[in-house]
Amino acid sequence: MSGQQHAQVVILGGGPGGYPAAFAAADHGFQTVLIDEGEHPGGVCLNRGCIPSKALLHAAKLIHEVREAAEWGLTFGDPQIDLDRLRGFRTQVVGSLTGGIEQLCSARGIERIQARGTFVDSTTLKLASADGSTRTITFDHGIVATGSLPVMPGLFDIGDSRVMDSTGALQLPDIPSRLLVIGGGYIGLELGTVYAALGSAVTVVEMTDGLLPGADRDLVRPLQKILTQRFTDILLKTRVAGLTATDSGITARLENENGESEQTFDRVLVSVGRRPNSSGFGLEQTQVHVDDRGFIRVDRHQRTDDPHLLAIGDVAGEPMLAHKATREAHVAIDTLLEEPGQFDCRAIPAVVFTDPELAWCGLTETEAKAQGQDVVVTRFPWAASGRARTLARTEGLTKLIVEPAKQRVLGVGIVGPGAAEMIAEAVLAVELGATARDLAESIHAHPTLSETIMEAAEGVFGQPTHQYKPRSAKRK
Amino acid sequence: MTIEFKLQEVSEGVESVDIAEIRVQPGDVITPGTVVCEVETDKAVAEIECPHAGTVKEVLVSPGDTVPIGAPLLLIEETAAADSDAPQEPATPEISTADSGTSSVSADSEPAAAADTASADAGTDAASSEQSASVVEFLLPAVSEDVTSVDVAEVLVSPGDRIAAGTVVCEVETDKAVAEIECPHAGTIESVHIKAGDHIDIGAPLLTIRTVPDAAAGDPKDSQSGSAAQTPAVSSPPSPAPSPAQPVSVPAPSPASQTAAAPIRPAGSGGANDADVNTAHPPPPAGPATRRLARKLGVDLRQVTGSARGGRIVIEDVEVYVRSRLAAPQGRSGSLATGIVPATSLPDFSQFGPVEREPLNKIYRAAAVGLHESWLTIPHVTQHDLADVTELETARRRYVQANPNAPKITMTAIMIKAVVGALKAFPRFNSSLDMETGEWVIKKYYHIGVAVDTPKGLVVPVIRNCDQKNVLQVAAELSDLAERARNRRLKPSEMRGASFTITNLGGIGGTSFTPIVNYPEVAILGLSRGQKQLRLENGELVERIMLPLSLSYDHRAINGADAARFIVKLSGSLTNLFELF
Repeated sequence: MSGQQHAQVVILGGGPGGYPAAFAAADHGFQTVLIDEGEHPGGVCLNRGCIPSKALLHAAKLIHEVREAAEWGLTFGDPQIDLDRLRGFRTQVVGSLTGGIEQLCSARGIERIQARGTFVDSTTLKLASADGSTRTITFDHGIVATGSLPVMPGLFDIGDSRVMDSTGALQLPDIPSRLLVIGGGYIGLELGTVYAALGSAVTVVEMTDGLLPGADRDLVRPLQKILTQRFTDILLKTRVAGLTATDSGITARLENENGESEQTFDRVLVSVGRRPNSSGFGLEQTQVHVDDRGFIRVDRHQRTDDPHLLAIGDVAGEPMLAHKATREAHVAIDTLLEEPGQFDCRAIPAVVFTDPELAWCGLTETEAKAQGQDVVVTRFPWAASGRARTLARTEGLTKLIVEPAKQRVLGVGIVGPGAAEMIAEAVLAVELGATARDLAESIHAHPTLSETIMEAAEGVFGQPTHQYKPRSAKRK
Repeated sequence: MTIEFKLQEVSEGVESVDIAEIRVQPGDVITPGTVVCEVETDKAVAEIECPHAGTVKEVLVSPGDTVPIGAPLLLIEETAAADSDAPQEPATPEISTADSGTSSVSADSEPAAAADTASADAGTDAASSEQSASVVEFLLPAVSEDVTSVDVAEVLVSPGDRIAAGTVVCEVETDKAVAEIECPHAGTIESVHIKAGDHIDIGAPLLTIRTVPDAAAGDPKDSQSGSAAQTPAVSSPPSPAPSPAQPVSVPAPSPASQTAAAPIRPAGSGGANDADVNTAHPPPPAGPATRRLARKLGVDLRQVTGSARGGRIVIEDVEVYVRSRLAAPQGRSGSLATGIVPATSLPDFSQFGPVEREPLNKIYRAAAVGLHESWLTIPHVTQHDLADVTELETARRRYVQANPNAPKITMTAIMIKAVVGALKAFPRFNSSLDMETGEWVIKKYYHIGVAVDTPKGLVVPVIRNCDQKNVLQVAAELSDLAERARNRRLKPSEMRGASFTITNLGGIGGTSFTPIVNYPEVAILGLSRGQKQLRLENGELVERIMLPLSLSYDHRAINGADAARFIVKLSGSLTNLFELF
């Protein structure tokens, strides 16, 4: 079947950038079409990323907590893991969310087309459906929201299903006795945590000298200490030189300064990063500029070099995070409406859903140091938090990075259970230009972990109530 | 690249200036810091320095023009290709992408064992050893508690100077004190962003310094100081500035090379402005909703004073700013020049004879507004007296003749000391009236304003703390201030804060007059020409030198009897010299 269709706004990609863009466009009266080749909308985030991984991490956390409870006199016995039902929980969570998006699409009158779209020119897409039929659609404005894909270096792509990317690992094919995780970034550590909780012996190999590059080291340290107990091995400054499939498993050649060694694993998770999805769908037929790393060049209004096309989300630049994509979606629709929207966010939260969780936003101490920026840093250890004590989780840390003259909060870093939720307050503080005193003099409910933000702020100009450090961060 | 050089803020509250003199013409080659023109504000003349280097293409103003702050002054063909169009990058954490399978990820120089030594000391950053030289912005550090802004008293360095870490680069005045500002960076000064008389906030950029990557300097800093959210606007080719390719990109530790092209603006896209982009300073402290409103109204948030804690800008601040800009005088457009609306409009004088129109300069306009306000506000009464200054004048002349190298003691200088004595005896004359609270605001300082007649109009420099200075010191200061007033070189800070004013017309003539109180002061003393008079003393006629005093006062603050007492005390002290000193 072929035919010609026209829409005011066409959005290519239905992830956490694409579907909010479609919703906002439709809400402002644009006749909107959302194109996604997946069976369900939601993109990587809902189908193969954030959401399923968090469902599994919730299960993992429960397993750990049950074990920890034995120390306080609560013994539950070893967990019985029914993998089918666990997969079912994950599938049900994902299904309910993607189903919700489908409903919201139709409620808003958005036409959803399941097809692979390829640009013919700046205002035309060729749509190829799964059944082989094709047609074209023309549009006034197109929004490219095609996201990103896991990187699978050729070295590891040996054509064996036991070597998985994050998508494969989230399928939870089985519980391997020995799992190798290549890459100590957030994806590797999150999925490693899931498999370790389910019973796998997990080995993480990281090429650099630390886990979670980009995060301040003092935030990583408590996590690394716990992962050292839960994982079999964390090999830093180590490179995987090659993978070989054998009957007994996948043999990995590991290289580090001590030399080369071989280890065999039942499965391997390759989590060395993600790359923008910007090739293979005809962008070269438009005026869009794609840089060396595969990102579409955009300005602060999400405009590309092509006057008909905007781009948002992972394909439009780092950081490749769902919540950044969603904000950009709204900026893009503002741009279409010629409203004064602009992507000028100062604090994009980064969250790692390990146990403990890591979260930070705004300026990191590492960045401040690298840039020679004069900042005051205060740290409030959770050992001094009553709430952390009641949770028997005192390894956490809350830190503030503050501009010295007016004590504006420039960045916040948190490690500890619940950091992912706590970072919201920090984002608001950085984005609104709050001062340390603003945080310190806003009442925080007791007993909660959020008090640690208040107390860290007190440390900027005085002493935290529950900590006494002579001449700590106070400056002359 | 051709750039427009716009008129920057001259001093606090000044929204427009008169162009007094243009110092450059098309074709001139200028360097950063070149004085390109002189402008006149209400009270002072300021030299405008241009921070750009290049060739002047076009001069967009002429002498006599009244232009608002922000108005374009020059078109400059820039020589250094300063990429000031690079988009400002939000500070964003990095967690994704090819972060772990690669080798060039930034190695963190931590972990230090003592995690609680909470201070980001960049001085020992290992990464810095790679840098050849870098450019830092030196921002005004906190001067003292509760001080949020200062006046620049003196700038002690200029572009091209080499400074060591700890060099005092400028002096600033707070309400309370003068402070020396030390710069912790060593290097060569690329540009100076301030000048004497500037009113600046804590955190404002003072200098751009190309630092010395010398270990001895101890402070090698990266070019991106200022804020994580910045790409430096200064041109710094050798520094490893991050590529501005992505508006939302992070300082990614990725090995892949990044293209350095700034995003272009495709034709036909939406038209929102990027008001708060393209600068080298930390972003203004304002939340997203405030920023959006500012963009919508075309307000540069850097021009807006924040009213919330720490100088945070809230929506109301933007509204107030816009309202004040709309209400501000529009230069010479019509009767708004002084802000004073005449009761009736003027007749056409040409029906009576030929006329010529001459514009009021800034000083006259400001004086008109001030005097108008004072006259409308203050119920004036003037109390006259004649002081017998025969002995005083004789002693004065003798001293002046005997000490030709000492500061010349004038009657005004002596009068300042005499007035301080009277003010101490009658403190309400050294006050202001707060009608909202119904209080006298009694001042514990004795800052005496002295009206000085200059070719450009009347100005009133202020001699501070006259109670703590002897008459020689007062005389020396007075002569310096008067000289600079005539040369139009007074700083705005030198014309603020008077608690009482003296105006001396004795040099010109007259027997008495009615001075107008310099609101919000409550009294002013006018002096006329001293005259020899015959007086009866113990039944004998004697020749005395009598000095006419005219004390105008705010009758709301001071009653007539007290005014009489004040002037009797004052004139008595001029006659009985021992009361003076």
